[in-house]
This record gives sequence, structure tokens and C-alpha cells, in this order.
Amino acid sequence: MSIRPTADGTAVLVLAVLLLFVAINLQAGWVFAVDALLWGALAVGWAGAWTALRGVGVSRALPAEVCEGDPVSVTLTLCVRRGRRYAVTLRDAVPGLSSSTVVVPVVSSRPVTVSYLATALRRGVHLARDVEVTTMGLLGLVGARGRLPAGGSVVVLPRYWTLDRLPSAGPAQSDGRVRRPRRDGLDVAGVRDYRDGDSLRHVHWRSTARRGRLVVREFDDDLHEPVAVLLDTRPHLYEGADDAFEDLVRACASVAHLATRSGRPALLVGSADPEVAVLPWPHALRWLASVRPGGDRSPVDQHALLPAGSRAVVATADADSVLALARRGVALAAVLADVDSYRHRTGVSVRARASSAGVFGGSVLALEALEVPVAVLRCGDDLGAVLARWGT
Amino acid sequence: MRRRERPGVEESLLARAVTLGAVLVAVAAVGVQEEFAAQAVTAGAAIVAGFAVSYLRRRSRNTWLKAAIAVLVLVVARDFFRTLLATPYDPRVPLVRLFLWLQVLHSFDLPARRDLKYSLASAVVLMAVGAAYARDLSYGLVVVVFALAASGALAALHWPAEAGARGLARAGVGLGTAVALAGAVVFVAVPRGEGLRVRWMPVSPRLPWTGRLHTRVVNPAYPDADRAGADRQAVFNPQGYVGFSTFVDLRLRGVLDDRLVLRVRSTRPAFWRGLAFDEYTGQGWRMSDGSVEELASDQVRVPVRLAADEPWPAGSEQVVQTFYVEADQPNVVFAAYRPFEVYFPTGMVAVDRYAGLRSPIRLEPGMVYSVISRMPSPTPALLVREHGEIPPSVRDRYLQLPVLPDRVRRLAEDLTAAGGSPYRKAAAVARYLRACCTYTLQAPALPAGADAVDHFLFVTRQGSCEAFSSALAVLLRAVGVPARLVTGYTTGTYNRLTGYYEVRNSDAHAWVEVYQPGAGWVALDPTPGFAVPTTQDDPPGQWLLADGARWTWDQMAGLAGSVSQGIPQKAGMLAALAVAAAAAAGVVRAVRVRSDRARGPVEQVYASAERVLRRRGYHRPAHLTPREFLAALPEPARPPASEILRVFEASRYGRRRPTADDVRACREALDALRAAARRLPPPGVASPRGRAPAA
Repeated sequence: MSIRPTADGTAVLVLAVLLLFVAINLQAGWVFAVDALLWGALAVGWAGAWTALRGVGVSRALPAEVCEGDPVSVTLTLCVRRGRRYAVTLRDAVPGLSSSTVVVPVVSSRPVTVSYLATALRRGVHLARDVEVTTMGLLGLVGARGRLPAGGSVVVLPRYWTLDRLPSAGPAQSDGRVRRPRRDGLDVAGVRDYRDGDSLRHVHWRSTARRGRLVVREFDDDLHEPVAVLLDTRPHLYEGADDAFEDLVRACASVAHLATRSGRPALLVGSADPEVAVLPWPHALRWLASVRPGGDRSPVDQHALLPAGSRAVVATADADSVLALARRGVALAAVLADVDSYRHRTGVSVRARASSAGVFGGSVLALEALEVPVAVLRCGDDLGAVLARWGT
Repeated sequence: MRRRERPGVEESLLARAVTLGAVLVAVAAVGVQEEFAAQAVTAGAAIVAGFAVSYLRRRSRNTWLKAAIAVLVLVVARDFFRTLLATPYDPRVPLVRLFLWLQVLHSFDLPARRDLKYSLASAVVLMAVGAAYARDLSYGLVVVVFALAASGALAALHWPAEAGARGLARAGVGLGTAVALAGAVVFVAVPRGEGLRVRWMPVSPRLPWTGRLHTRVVNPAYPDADRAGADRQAVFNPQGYVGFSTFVDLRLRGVLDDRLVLRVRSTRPAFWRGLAFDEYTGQGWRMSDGSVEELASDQVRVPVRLAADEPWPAGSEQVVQTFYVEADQPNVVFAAYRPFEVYFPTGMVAVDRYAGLRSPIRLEPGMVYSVISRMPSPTPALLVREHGEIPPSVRDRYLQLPVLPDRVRRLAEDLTAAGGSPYRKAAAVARYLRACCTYTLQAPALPAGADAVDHFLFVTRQGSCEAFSSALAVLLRAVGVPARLVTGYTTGTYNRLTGYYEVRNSDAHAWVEVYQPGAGWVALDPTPGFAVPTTQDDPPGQWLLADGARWTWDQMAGLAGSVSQGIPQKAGMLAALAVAAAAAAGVVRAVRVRSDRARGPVEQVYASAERVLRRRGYHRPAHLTPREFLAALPEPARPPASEILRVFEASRYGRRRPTADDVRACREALDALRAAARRLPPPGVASPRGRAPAA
């Protein structure tokens, strides 16, 4: 806890020193008394500040999960063991959420609840430990500032975009020849009931009219093949470009969401343990919320963990490793992050001039030659727009 | 045109009202001084109007108002400098007017909370200015009221609007009381250094004078003292001292009343000298030379020129004094010896042959004058110096004696047989008088025709200060040491709150000045219980805490002395200290009990249980939870301790208020624990069921 005089307190202190000087030189008893009042006020202010945060308890209520960018209602409850505290200012800064300041006029032994709306800024599993509490008391001469324990946790899930489709993947086969494009799962396998998140484009209107409820077409791929999402988490790739990693995570979340909408399991692969996770949608989001740069497994190594012939979506900043995978005949699509643009914050302005090929030294061109759909993310890009253009 | 709102406008009418209250208290603090009463009333009314205008126009830009205030500030500043030039010796008067009118002007432009705070700060300055003027204890009441009002204003300015106004009064009074108490502690604890001794010379407004009272001494208590003599005796008047007349009648007996006559602010304690007398008649003292020299100036400052008989002291210290006359006094200008400059409202004083200052008018209540003196501060070496010539004029005037009985001369020779300097001889005689004679104001009457000194020394051996001083002066003259009787007031009682010496009628006193070659006139007081202040004496009341500690120590020493009659005093002191320690322990225990009460009944019982166990040596280390500690307790203590712990945990962690049954069960368990604790083995000793935990 820190106790410091406020601007008013400093002014009173200066006045008290001046009056003491005057009193000493005049030897006027009552001037000493008036001066003593000022010192007394400072002493009372200091004692008030010293006791202000003692006996004060704060607790915090947070929703368990929120999505990046969503508003979050945070509720703080204060009470004091004895007495009253006036004009208590709470500055709450939960990691991953925007901070906010609220003022509680009076705190007494009856709990007082205040709420504020924050914004979830960054995905992750965030632990809040304390709240910064400030009060100047009623005299306003000395302020006390301290951090009171108030635990709480929130999982901020990565933001995702609703994609219409997954780009078709068609790289060269292992012999190096260009493989004939597959049908990409566009063969209709049947129909099923509409599920939340399904595209209206896939509604089978005739069956819907017949059954009286929404029915969508179910494609061949949807039924069988899981979507493997390889997230390259090797930390050296993202040094100085944390946001690049975040955008890749969001891209993975969007792909996982699309997979879920199409009824296929999402198979998430990171560079650290657990190596492979086949997860339903909410768990996939939590996995993506908690994933951090770490491990040393490249996408090639990651793909080796998958069943042979698995198609994959690779999210990485290393175009060469994607190219290596493509050259092995793996059917894949790639999301590449241009980390330089993130490091130098030159994404949007320079984007028009910098070609994809220039950034990744020809790897992207080679990938495109191998018919690998590539989305390149740059700092400041609209991720949703980039993903929407992916493979078109 | 759209009116732009001012930022940070204070909307709280309550905060403005309370701040206005505090400011008005500060104005009243100045107004209680008579000379500012009218201005303070006008200023108070203007400030109320100003606050009202400020509130009504709080959202306006008030450009014209600000311009008008700026112009008026210049006018007030001009008035300040003009008044300052007119009264250069006391800047307090223009300062009061300046702060008062600045406060008024500022009150017309208080849109924001910040401005209200400035107003409060300005009120503090007004309080300080009023405090510099205040001379009596009633100002303390103003200070307390201001503490309450200003604290209330600060609280109102920080009071959250959402909290409603209901609790503000209680909070303000609580804060004000706390501030006043803390201020009292600071007031007592802060030592008051001497500082730079800023010299200002307060003096009453210049008075026209037409009479020429300074050619004689007019004592309202003894209007006919001039005609008193061997054949005619004055009647004692308890309202005035006979020593402030041209004849000091040693035949008078009586006790003076305790009326406050002077308030003196001085940089040093001193005797406030009035008159000196050179001719001893056997029944009293008179001035052989009634001539005076007029010292006039076109200002209130009058430099003092003394006669050649009053040499400049070899060593001296400047003493600045201001006298506030509280009761009718003779036309004697009291001042510490040796006056150097006088600031007197008539601009004219007269000085007699004996360095006594006289006013052309009588000193009346309300009159203020200041004096700068050079107080003699001779070195010890100078005081014991035997050689040196006494000026003939001094020898002629101050060795005069009437026909004295031989025994007086013989006593004088006996007492000064050891020789030495005049001062040493005087000190020897004074020692003798203090040792052999008794001070009383009701000594037996002097028989007709008897010599007052002879009667005092050889018959009654008791008398007042005049008798002691007369005896000293006469005995010294008998052996050729020039001496004179001096009358005036003693220092008086130092008021630690006001910083003034309060001089009462009963403080009138007589002492002796001895001529020491090289050092000039040196004051000496032979009266038991009195001593002439010296420049080495620290002014009293410089540190109230130390004064209080000294007083407490003296009281304890006195108590120990009275209780332990027959017991060595050190043992008595030890006993007193033991009593004080026991009292302190009681206070600590009371605080602890009070703190226990604040915890709640179950917590109290738990704390008591821990204390019971601790006394038996079972101390719970910080790393053990109560339950772990309980598990390690020996068997007899475990069941009752377990019961207490159950209720304690339910109360502390279960968020459940303990019921009356819980509390009763807990207390019964505590009784059982106390009983069981007597059977507990010491920690670490094997008990029938295992080993007791180490402490």
C-alpha cells in the first residue's frame, strides 16, 4: 500500500511549513495553534489513508468464457469490516480485458456491488489476482493506493469468422506430377436437418418444403474426413510479432468453426503436447484460447502425426515448411502470416506494393503452382476478408 | 451567441454553504480584534453576497466580473502599500486589510470546487493573521470552531453526491474533532525555535497630546504621593503600586490585587522597569532630581538618549518588547533596562535622570507601545573586576544616605569584609538578606521616627520587596557602592497559548541596581523567591511537551517525597515509577480487551483460549492452522479446545452468525479448557497419551 499526499495535501503541507516559519519568527502562540491545525489535518488525513484500505474486501465476478472483442460485464463487490470508506476508486485491469475505473461513493459493512463493461481484448486463459483500490478520504489531503486480492478467471476465446467454404486443396502427388483435382467433397451425400451455423446456401429447399423444417445438403467430405488444422507454434517464428500468431490462431478458429458447421470433426495439431487433439467445437475454441507459442515441431513434423493421406490446413509463418509438405504430395491449404509486416507495422500501407511472392521469397508462387490455396496475412489486414478470398 | 459552460463547476449548494461558514469564522477571527471589527462586519456581508453571486453565475464566463475584480485587487494593493508606508513599524494592520479584502473579492468568482479550496486556504491565512493579533485565550474557541467548520467544508467538498447529505454533518464533526485533537497534540509536541525574531513594533494609532504629564509622575492609585513624606503618610491602595510615584513610602503595608495590567510580548523575559530612586529618607525613597528631558519625533519612533550616569552596557543583548495596556497605569513607560528605542503613540516621551521613561499622557487600556532595549549582559569577569573608576556624578548621587544607626553601617562592613568588586559585595549582602530575612507583605508597621532599613534588619527581619531592596541599597551605599532602588513589574506569567507575558497588579516589584565599573548598572534582586532574569534565561514555553514532562516529573518527585517520608527519595521515585508502569499496563490491557470485544464473542473466546494455552507454554506457531494445533494438544485440553474451534470455524469461515447457544457453549468450553490447562504437562514432556507439542 502506498500513501502519498494529494495536490491539495501538498498545498496544505507547504502552507503549514510557511505558517510554522512565521509562527517561530513571531513567537505568536495562536499562530502556532493555527499552524498545528494544518499539521493535524495532514495527520488525520494520513491516518485515514493508512486505515482506509484495511478491512476492505473486494470480490470479482466474471463470465467464464467470452469471445475476443465481445463486451464483458465485470461485477465487483466491496465491503468493509468496520466503519465506512468514502469515494473509493477501483481500477480493475483483468488481463485480456480492457481496464476500467469505477468509483464507489460509500463502502460500509453492507456489501456494495458495482459493475462495468469491459471488452475482451486478447484470447487466452486469464487469471485476475487483485484490484487496485485508491481513496483520498473525505479530507482529500492524503491518498492511499493498494492492491486488494480479488481472484477471478476468464477464458477469452479467439475470434473467428464464418467461412462459406474451405478452399480446395490439390498439391502435387509424390511423384511430382500435378494431381487431378478432386471433387473436393462437393458430392452430395444426402440431406440432414439444419444445424446452427449452416450456410443458407446449403439449404435443400425441396426437402425443406417437404418436411416443413430446414434441411441442408450434406456433402461427402463432411461425413468422413476430419479437418486437420496444423498450427505452427514454434516461438522463433513470431519473435516481435505476437499479433501474427494471434491472427493465425483466429484463422484456425475460423477453419475449426467451418468444420464444425459442416459436421466434421476438427483435428487440431500444435507443436507442443498434447500433440493432436480431436475436439468438438467448444473444446476446440478453448484449445485455441490456451495455445501459446512453444515447441519445436514444424508443420512437416506435425503432419507426420496424422493418418497417412490426411488433408490439412496449415497456419504458419514459415512458407518453406508448407512448400515442403506440398512437395510431399500432401493435400493442404495454407494460411501464412507475413511476420515482417507485423514487426514493422507496415501491413496495410505497404501491402499494395509488396507481392506475396516478394515477401516469402517465391515460396508462395511455388505453392500456387502446386495448386495449394494460400492466404497471406499482413498486419492490419481484415482477417475475415482475407479468409473469404482464400482459394478464390 | 451560445454561452459556453465552464468546466468543473461546483453544483453542490451544501459544499458552498459549509465553505462560506468556514470563511466567515476566519473573518470573525479577525473581527474579534477591536480595531478590525467594523471592517470585518462589512467584509463578512460582502463575502456572503459574493458567494451568492458566485453560485448564481457559476456557469457563466463572467468576463466583466473578473475584470472588475482585477481592478479592485489593484486598488486593494495600492491601499496596502499606502498603509504600509504610513505604519512601517507594524505591517500587520495593512496585512489584515489586504487579506480581508482579497477574500471578499475572491468570493465573487468561485465557480469551481478548486476555487472554493482556494477560499479555504485564504481563510487559513486570515486565521493566522488574526492569531498574530490575538492576545487572550478566547481565540482558542475561534480556532476550534474554525477546525470544525473547515473540516466540514473539506468533507463537503469531497462528499460523494450519491451518499446524500444526511451523514455529512456527522462526518464533518467527526473529522473536525479529529483534526482539532491532532492539532492539539502537534501544538504541544512541536518545539518553538527562536527563529529570526522578526522585529515589528506594534503601536497604537498616533495620539494627540496636550497635557504635559511627563514632567511629573501621575499615579492614579496615589494622586497625592508627591506630598507624602516624613510627616504625611499615604493610605495603601490595593489597586496600584506606590512605587510608581515620586516617593516610595516604606511605611505602607498591604497586598495588591491580581488585576491584569499589561500583556507583554518580548523576545526575552525581563523585569519591566518603571522608575528609579536615588534619595533614601529613612521612611522611603524619592527622586532628588525631578527634571526630565523631552524626546520628541514626528513619527512614533523615538530614539532614547539617556544621561551620562547611564553608561552603555559593555555586553548587552537586544530585547524587543511590545506592551498592551490592559488597565489604567501611571504615566510611566515600562520597559526593560536599558531602553534604546521607543515606539509610542504620542511620538514624544520624556526621560528622567534615572533612565525612567514617562509619557505625556496616562497609560489607558487599549494603548500599545513597543520598546527596543539593550539588556545588560556583563561577563562574569566583568562583574568581579575590582578596579575601575566610578564617575563622580554617580558617586555624588548614588551614595547619599541620611544619618544611619551605627549597627547598620557595621553590618554593612561585616558583610562586605571579604572585599571584592561592587557587584560581589552586593551579591554577598543579597545572600545575607535572603538567608536571614523573611519575605512578607504584611510586615509589622514601622514605628514613627524609626529608620525603615534599621527596623527591618534588626527588629522585624521581615518585609516586602521594597524593604529587602532598600536594605540592600542602603547597606551597599554604607560601604561606598553606588546603588539605587528601582520599581517596576516582574516578568509576569508566560501564557503558553498566546505567547504573551501576562503582568498583573500584584507583579509590581522593587529591586536594586548596583553600579559596577565597566559594566554600568547591574540589576540585583535580594528578595527571596525573585531573581532578575538574565539573557542566559531561555524564554519559557518553547516546548510544551518538555514543559509538561518537567511538570509531571516534578509532581511525581513531590508525590514521592510526600509519600515516602522517612523512606529514601530514590525508593519513593521507584515506587512512583512502578505506579506509572502499572497504569500503562492497565491501559494496554484495556485496549486489548476493547480490541477483543470488537472481534465478536466467539472470536474473543477463541483468542482467550489461545491465551490460556500460551500461558501454559502451548504457543501456536504461525505455520500451523488452529486445527493442526489442536491435534497436537495433550488429551485433557483437546475436547474443550475442539468445541471452541468448531464454533470458531463455523463463525469465521461458515458465514454464519453464532447463535446464543453457540456462544454459551463456547464459553463453557473455555471454562473447561481453563480447568484442563492446569493439568496440562509442560510442552515437550511425555503425557499419558503421547508427547505434548513443543512450544
